[in-house]
Amino acid sequence: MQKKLGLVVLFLAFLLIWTGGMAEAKTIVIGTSQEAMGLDGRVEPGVAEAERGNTILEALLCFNHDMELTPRLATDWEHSDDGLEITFYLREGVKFHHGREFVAEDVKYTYEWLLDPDNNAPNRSLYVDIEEIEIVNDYEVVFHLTQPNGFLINNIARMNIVPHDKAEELGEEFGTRPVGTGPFVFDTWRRDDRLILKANPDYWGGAPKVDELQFRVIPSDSARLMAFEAGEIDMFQSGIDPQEIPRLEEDPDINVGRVAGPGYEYVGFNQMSPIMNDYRIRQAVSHLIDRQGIVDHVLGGVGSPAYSPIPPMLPWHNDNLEPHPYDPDKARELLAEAGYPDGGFSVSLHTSDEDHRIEIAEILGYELGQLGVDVEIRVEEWGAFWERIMYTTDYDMYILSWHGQLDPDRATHRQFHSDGGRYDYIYYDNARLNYLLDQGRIVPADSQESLDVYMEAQEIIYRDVPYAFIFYIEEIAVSHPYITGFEVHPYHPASWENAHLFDKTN
Amino acid sequence: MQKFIIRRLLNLIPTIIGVSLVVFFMIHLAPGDPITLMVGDDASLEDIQRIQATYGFDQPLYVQYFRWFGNALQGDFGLSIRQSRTVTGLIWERAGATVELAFMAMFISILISVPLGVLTALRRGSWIDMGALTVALVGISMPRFWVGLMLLIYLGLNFDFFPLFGRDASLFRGIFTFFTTFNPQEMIVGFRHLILPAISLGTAATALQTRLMRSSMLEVLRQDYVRTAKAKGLSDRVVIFKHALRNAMLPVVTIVGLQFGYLLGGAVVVESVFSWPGLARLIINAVSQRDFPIVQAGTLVVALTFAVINLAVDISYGFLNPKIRYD
Repeated sequence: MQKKLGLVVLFLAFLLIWTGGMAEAKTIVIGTSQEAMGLDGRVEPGVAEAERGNTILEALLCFNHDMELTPRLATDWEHSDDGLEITFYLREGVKFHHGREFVAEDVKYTYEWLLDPDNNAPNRSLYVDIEEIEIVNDYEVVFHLTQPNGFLINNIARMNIVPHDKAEELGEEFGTRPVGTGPFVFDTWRRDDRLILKANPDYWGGAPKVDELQFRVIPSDSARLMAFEAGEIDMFQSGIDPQEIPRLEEDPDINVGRVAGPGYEYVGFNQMSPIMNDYRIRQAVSHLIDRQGIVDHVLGGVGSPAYSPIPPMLPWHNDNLEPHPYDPDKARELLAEAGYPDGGFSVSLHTSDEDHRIEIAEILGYELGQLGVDVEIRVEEWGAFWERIMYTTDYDMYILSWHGQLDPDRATHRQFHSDGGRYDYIYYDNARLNYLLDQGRIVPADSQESLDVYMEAQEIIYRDVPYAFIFYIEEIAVSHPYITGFEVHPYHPASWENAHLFDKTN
Repeated sequence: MQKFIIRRLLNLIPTIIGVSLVVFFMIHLAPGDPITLMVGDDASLEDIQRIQATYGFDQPLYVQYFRWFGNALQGDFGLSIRQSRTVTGLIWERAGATVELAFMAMFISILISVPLGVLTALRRGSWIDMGALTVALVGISMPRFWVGLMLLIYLGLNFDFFPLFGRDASLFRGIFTFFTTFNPQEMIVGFRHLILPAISLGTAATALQTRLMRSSMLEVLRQDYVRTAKAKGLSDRVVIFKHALRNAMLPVVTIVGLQFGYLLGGAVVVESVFSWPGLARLIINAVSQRDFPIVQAGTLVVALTFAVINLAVDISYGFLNPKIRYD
């Protein structure tokens, strides 16, 4: 017995010694809800992939916090007068993590790889206007386009440059241990657990202030918040229960960063549905959405009422519009005009299984029910929901969102042009709008004409209601006060790309 | 006995085929396809169809099934669609974490349920008995994710000893390291991370086994040979631990084996709450991404494990049960 007790005491002593006082490198730990599938943006275009990848790899340009294009690997760029050439002047003396200098050949390789259909790059279609890439010298490269495309530059800002030698050598493996020019160097990755990146002391923008950056995956929102409050993770963005936000904002030991993001959630109407085909019914639905109420009570005050597909931060946003007011009487009138004074029809409303979308669907279902409309709400798992909206016409209304609306073309053409490709899942067709959206691609992006085109386009969308906009997304991030140099970025994938400026001061 | 084992092993074959069929067709017939989910917002329809074809998804389903099952029989589960790695490698990498979690949960549940079951049986009707039965009822009724969250809130947030998420080291390897190098660090780190997930996973099993142990013990205590032992003048301790407990353990052993399979299933929830990088999370993520090869192989492996454990329990039951042994 004595012996056993001795062993136990010895064990406990060990425990105390080894759990206390372990010296650690200066590490910033970022929490995330989702694991990345790969770190190579050429093949994996999602947010989880980009927010990690952008700390290791860099694009020619990037977006600053005001969503303006700023130099990254290119120091300057210019469009030719005919809009058929874009010249990039590359930053000199930038080294990839394996020691070789970044040169024009890497830019050419990256884009040619992307455009080769055999490589199955999902975003290839964004870049197909690039006809040829000409290397002028190691630090100057010209993109020749098949037609003017004023907004291509925004997509170029989203594509990271890979080193041609390493990308060839690693092939598909590149996404599991990428090599870039960014402030952090890939170290180890245990999927669904952690991604460890080490500081790149030779980074052209200055060596990072911390030794290590870690991404830790915590799928449960409540567990992630707890881990944050307990100090086990230093910061994270998105995935905060709305009910927690007031408490977090009052806590002096927590910094809550909020900024309007370039996206929105909306109710989409299937134009193939004989009922939803009538704009008066669509308008009626829009007037039944209490947008401010939804923002305040469903979203915990995060977000703002929406009324246009072009987010307010972009110069093309039409400020003259305002949200359709919540007005059930007006909705009743509109239904009567459409021939349904007492409702008396039934429609389906589909949504994926996010809590807030289900709540919004229930609210809208109730409001329509008050006007005698029978709404069947169907909640589906994401993959099934997505397939229904994307490939079938078996729905009347659905709730979904658009993110990363970085320019007016991305925010309108795919969604509302009758030839918008696979995203035209509402089958909307408006001749004037089609014309305007085509014009928008041809006129120079920084011209008054461009502004005029999109102002009118937004007015048409506002009147005709192919979408009923619900709210503009607001990005929200929490960090501890001892983290300095961090500011939440409106474009989530860009949030940590300047992590070399972050410091940990505790 | 040998004949019995061989027959049971042969029985595994239709089980495997059945499971493979169900798993394959369920995931393939479910709406949603991996490429559409992979490509995000910007791919064109032509690009999507071309990528689908390179993965062979344009082939008839039965062709895809035979191709997959044929390869699987040779131990080749193919490549993950999203992770560009072999599925075998991915499963192997993750299985350890889940097995460790399930073992620890089982270990804790036995450690608590057996003594508690005996105690409540001996003190039948006392407040200890009533209290334990109530706690057991609550334990069975509580959902695992809720237990997990409560543990995080009350223990994790208040005691630095318990980390709130993740798995920084393997306890098994830590124990091995400790016995080879006397460095306990890895073992302690592994233990600290494992303990809360294991408790939340094992709560329901503990409750069930406690009740089972109690009723089994009560039954054994009523039997003639126990009365005889008492009549011989043996002390209570000897009667209980030497004579009664061994027999009372038998049904519990059977259940423990079966429970192990359920623990593997329950790991799905616990791994999400505690961010445990195990097999269950690999499979769950693969389901939402429709990463067919991982879902198929992962489910097949878990089903096979379940079947093998069942078999092992049946065989061990034959060895353990005195009625069979002494016949």
